Amino acid sequence: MTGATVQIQTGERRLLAGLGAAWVLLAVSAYFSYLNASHLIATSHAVARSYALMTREEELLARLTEAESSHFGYLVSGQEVFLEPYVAATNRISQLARELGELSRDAPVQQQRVRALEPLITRRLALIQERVETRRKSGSAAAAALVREREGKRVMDQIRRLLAAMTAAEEERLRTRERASTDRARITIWFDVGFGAFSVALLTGISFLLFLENVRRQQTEASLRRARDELEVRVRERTATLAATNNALAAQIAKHQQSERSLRDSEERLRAIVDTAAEGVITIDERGVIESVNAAGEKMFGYTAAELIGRNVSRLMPSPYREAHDRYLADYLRTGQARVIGVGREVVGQRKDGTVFPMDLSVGCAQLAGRRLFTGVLRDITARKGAEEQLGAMARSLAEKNKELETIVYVASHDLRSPLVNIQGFSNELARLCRQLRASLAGPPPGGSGDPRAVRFWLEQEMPEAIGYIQAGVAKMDVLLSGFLRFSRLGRAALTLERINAGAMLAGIARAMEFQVQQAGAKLEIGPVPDCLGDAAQLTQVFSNLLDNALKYLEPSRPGHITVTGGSEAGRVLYVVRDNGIGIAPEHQGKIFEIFHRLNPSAGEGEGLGLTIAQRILERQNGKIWVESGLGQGSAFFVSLPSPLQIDDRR
Amino acid sequence: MTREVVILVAEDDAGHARLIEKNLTRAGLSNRVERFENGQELLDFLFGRGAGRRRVADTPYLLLLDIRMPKIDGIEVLRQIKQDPELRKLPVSMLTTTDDPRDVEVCHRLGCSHYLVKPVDYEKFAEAIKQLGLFITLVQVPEINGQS
Repeated sequence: MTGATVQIQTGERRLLAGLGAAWVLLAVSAYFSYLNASHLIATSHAVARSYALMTREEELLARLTEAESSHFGYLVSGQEVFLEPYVAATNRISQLARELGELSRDAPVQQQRVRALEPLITRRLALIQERVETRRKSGSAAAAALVREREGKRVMDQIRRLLAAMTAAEEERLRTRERASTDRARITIWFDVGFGAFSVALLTGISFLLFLENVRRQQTEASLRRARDELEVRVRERTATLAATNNALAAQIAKHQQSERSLRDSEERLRAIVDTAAEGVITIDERGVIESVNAAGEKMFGYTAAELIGRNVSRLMPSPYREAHDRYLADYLRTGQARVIGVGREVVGQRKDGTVFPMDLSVGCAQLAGRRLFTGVLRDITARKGAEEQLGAMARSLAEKNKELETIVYVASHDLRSPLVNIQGFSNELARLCRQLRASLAGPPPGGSGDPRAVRFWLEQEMPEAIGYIQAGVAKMDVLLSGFLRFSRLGRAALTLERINAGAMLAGIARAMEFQVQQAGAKLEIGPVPDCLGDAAQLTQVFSNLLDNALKYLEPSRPGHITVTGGSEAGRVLYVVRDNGIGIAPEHQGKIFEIFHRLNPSAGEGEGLGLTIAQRILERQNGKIWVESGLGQGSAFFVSLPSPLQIDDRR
Repeated sequence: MTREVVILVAEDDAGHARLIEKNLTRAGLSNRVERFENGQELLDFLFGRGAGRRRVADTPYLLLLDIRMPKIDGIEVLRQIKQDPELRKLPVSMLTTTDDPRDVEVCHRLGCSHYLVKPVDYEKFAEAIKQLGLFITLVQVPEINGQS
């Protein structure tokens, strides 16, 4: 393309040079033509003037002759009529003389002649005037005398000569001019021919150049067209390729966008999942530096994500885990032996405010872009731990209750069967005795013993004995069952926990038992005791039972002495019922709270429920009862109850 | 001829004791029967403590032992008997109202010779006592040497 441009430029320059030359030539030619034309015009003007001059010379000569002839007629005739042409000619002559002066201005020689001519003309006319005047005044003779002097004729001849010279000179100038014009015309012709030839040559050259240029252009155009066609083909080809590529790209882009969209979707979904997860999710790099924390993690530790990202994860751990973590991480990276990764375990976390809490931690290790990323999923298990502990406590208390129930069931199955064994056994005895009686009434057996003493023995000894055991068994069962009933009612009785004035309560009990105390010959002392929190009616039952027991198991060999004391300690109140009675051997102390257990059934009445019920009552009121005793050393029953301050605090 | 076996009955319930005696008699056993109302009383007899009865040296004994008794129960009594190098030879038959597996296991582990559940059914009770009588007649009951 650059070459074509240069060619075109070279061609154009040549063409322009040719055109410039032609223009210069034309300008020069025009200038010459102008010069020639101007010269021709000037020459023709001069020629015209020459001819005018010669005409004026002829007319001047004619007028002078006319004036002469006419005055001669007057001179002869005397008649004025003859003078008329003379007057007309005189006027014309002076005009002609002036015109001659003007026309000969470009020729100094002619001018001189005109100037020489003018006095001659004046003289001639003056001579004529003189003759006319003379004729008029002096008649024809005088006039004739003047004519004879011949001066007229001389002047006239001089004029004739001058005019002839002028005409001859003028003719000469004409010829000269004609020659010069002819020469110039010839030069002009040659010049024009030369110019024309040169112009033709130049134009031919230019035309040729134009032709060449045209051909070249056409060639260029053709090659350009070819190139364009080729280019078009190539463009079409390229366009097709591009279109294909474009389509492929578009498809790829669409696919890419699709995958990007799905990636974005899945990323958004993942982020949403991570952010809304109830568990804390924390990612760290290989050095333990936190890279991300989700909302639950922020909340769990009380930090914002900004406070954590870029910091070591060990700040979320209390000592000594904090110090151990970096080492652990390094160990894992070196040995690949994980203790937490992929397993998960219970660990302890530390919040921003320094408090610690238990959490479940599971750690995953991911390879991302050639480095390891650890993801920790954390769950605060404080509530679960608390619940677990509560559950444990409940399970323990339930186990205790269960054991207690088992004991009760055990005791019940045993103690209820005992009277049944008697009832069944002795009713069978009765049945046997009945059979024996029937047999003896039927008649004495052969060789038999129809001994009336035997029958009496049956009736008076054996049958009443059997009936007695049966009745005792029934009574025992009744006692046991009503005891059970009482015991089971305890669990359903409504509790009214209130502040108990224990001193007043004990005083009331003492008054009710005054008679029994007197009967036993004992002394009952009640010291100052603190108030407590509990159910008044049930606590009255507990203390009545304890005092009753104390009186029941006094040592007969010494006077009974029973004291009740009390004190407070650590939000609780402790009462002690102490006696100097028979006491309880250490091996028996564990059994005394068992249902229906009686250490000494012979020692007075009782169903073996008192202490069992007392224990049950106190348990329901957050109380406790235990015994300290030794055989023969008396017993001390301790009752512990909540202080009434607790209820005050709650209020 | 060995001396006649003395049957010791540790039973807090008088009715039960009476039924045992009657059935033993009816089963044809005329052995002397000594009754104890609680574990404490029995241990005092066996170990020769207290002011009450005491066992006699070189006398063969057999013990029918109830589990649930006041003061000291049958299991505690059995434990103490089996811990004593001399008394451990004493054949002990548990005779009780329950067949609680825990009790059965504990008694066997401690070394009781026999475990009998007092049946409510008279026939079964009589049968059990007869078996026990048979047991007693068959077993060569060792004499227990004096202790103190």
